[in-house]
Amino acid sequence: MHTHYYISLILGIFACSAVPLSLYYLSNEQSTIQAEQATVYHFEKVSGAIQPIPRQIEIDTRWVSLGKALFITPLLSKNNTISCSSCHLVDFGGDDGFPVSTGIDNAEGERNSPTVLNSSFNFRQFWDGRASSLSDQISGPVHNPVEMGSSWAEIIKKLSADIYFSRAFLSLDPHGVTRENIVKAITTYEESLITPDAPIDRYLLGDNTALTEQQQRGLHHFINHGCTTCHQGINIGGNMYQKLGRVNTIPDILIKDLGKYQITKKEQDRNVFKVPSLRNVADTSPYFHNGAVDNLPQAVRIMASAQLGRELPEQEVEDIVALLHAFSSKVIEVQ
Amino acid sequence: MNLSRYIPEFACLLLFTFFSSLWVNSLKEDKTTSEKLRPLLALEKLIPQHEVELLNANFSDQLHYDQLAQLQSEVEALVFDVNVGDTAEQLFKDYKETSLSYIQLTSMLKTSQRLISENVRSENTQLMNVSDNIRLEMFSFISTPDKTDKATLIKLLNSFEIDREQQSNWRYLQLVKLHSLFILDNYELTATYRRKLIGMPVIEAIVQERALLQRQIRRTDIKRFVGIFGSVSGLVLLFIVVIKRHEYALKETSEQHKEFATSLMNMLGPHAGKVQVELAQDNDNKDRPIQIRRRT
Repeated sequence: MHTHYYISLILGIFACSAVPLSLYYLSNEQSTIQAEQATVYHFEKVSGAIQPIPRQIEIDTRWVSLGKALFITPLLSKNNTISCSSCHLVDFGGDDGFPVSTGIDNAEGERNSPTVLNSSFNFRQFWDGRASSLSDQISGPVHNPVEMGSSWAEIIKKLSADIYFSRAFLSLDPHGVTRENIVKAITTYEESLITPDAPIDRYLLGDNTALTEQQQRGLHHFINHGCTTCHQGINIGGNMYQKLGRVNTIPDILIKDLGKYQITKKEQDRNVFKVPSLRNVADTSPYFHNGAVDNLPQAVRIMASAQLGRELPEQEVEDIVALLHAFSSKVIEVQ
Repeated sequence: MNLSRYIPEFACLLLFTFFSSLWVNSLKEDKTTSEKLRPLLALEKLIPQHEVELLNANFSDQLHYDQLAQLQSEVEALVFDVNVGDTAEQLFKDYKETSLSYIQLTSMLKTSQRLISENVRSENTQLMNVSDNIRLEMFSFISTPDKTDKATLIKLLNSFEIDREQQSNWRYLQLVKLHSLFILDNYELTATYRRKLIGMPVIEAIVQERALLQRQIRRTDIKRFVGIFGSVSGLVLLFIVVIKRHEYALKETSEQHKEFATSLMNMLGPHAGKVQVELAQDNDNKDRPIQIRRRT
């Protein structure tokens, strides 16, 4: 027998083993799923329709920092003029204070920018609830031609060319700047934007002095008049859809936008919107999906009439507005 | 070099390549199927919880819907991930949409029922009688929905005009009228949604899809076993071929030596005993001639 024979045989075995091994490697590479460390909220449950916002949160602060930087960088927009924070001012209620937002090239949006604060407690995102989660939602404004008008390819290119961002991404994930990592960073940052310790939360957790007498009267009206049918839970809203004008007619200024109907084209979805959260509502004027109403008393009257068929006396409107101010608090400092 | 001599080795190597690829492929298939199965198993666990929470929403002590919203969100995310047949997919979509419509109506109906049941005193006895009558008819309709009751109620509701200027409690009357109409318009629809949700064979569809995937996993397991067995057999066969080839080569060499020795004996005849033959063979080169040295 020849040495050549054995060498050829061994080489043959190696070559043949390479086929299944490379198949295995390729299939493994494709199905690699990045394990994510989920944010944990420590909920405190109380009896009643409104629930307090958790005061404790476990979150990956490294991703929060990167997400914050991404949230304020204009590199996410096509012409580097608009950032997420252009429409979501975190220290001022989480929206921009305009009826509708302005995007790239001064383009006007169609809907009022919703607050980003406590948005992780919403069961869906956007006014019509078309995004099922915060991570699904991010693609919306990035690609919308009247918002950021950009694309993931463009953004990845710009962020990769930026020394800070390329290093920051690589320090957190060996894959560096990828769509998944951008989404993860922004989502984690948005999950950190919660506003516990509002007077209403302190009241719910047992501090009877947290609400003024007028606010307590407001809470009584809020519950008894039926506002909590839709505005309940941790976010005082944000956990269901509801038809605007469920019981009574709605003003003409609010009727044009058909809400969820625009997506589903189903009659039952006409004027159906995700119930907006009332957290920090005193800081997020103007109100409604098109920002058509600029003051809380008017918004309260419209809602009482359209949703509950009630014409509220002035005193009750004032009490409820006072209560709505008790839903405001500052963003938690993530340690 | 005559490659056709090595056909058995090639065949064994091909066998090994084929079966080991089959093995690897079955591992990939197993992973893919398990990934498909994961959301289905999660859905199988979550949907009953979601259904219970959804039907509980009808109870007056259910004051907020955070738990339902969370489950709804999880169910929707899983339905988005799940890879099932068209029928099951449509069923999931229907379930999702029906549940969203149901919760909108049922939460509002609860409020409407509570609001019209509130007792408000008025000096206008005739009006109070009408509103009491409406409430009575309404609760009779709610307990046993009937078309006649509905028609009577609508007639009753339209019989009194709410004059803001003249009636001191017009707000209350307006409230009763609007909410009663809302209940009449939506009570049966809500009950239809509820029945639809209860009767929807979502769990059955999940079980069916799960059984399909489990059958697929079993098939993949067999494929993996065949792959392992085949590739090991390929290697064993190769080993046997090598041993056989080695044995054959030794046998052939031995035969050659024997033949040569015999022919040499014949050639030398009576002097054979004085001749010592040294045979040497270079293993590296088979073509090298056998060396014969004579010693006298």
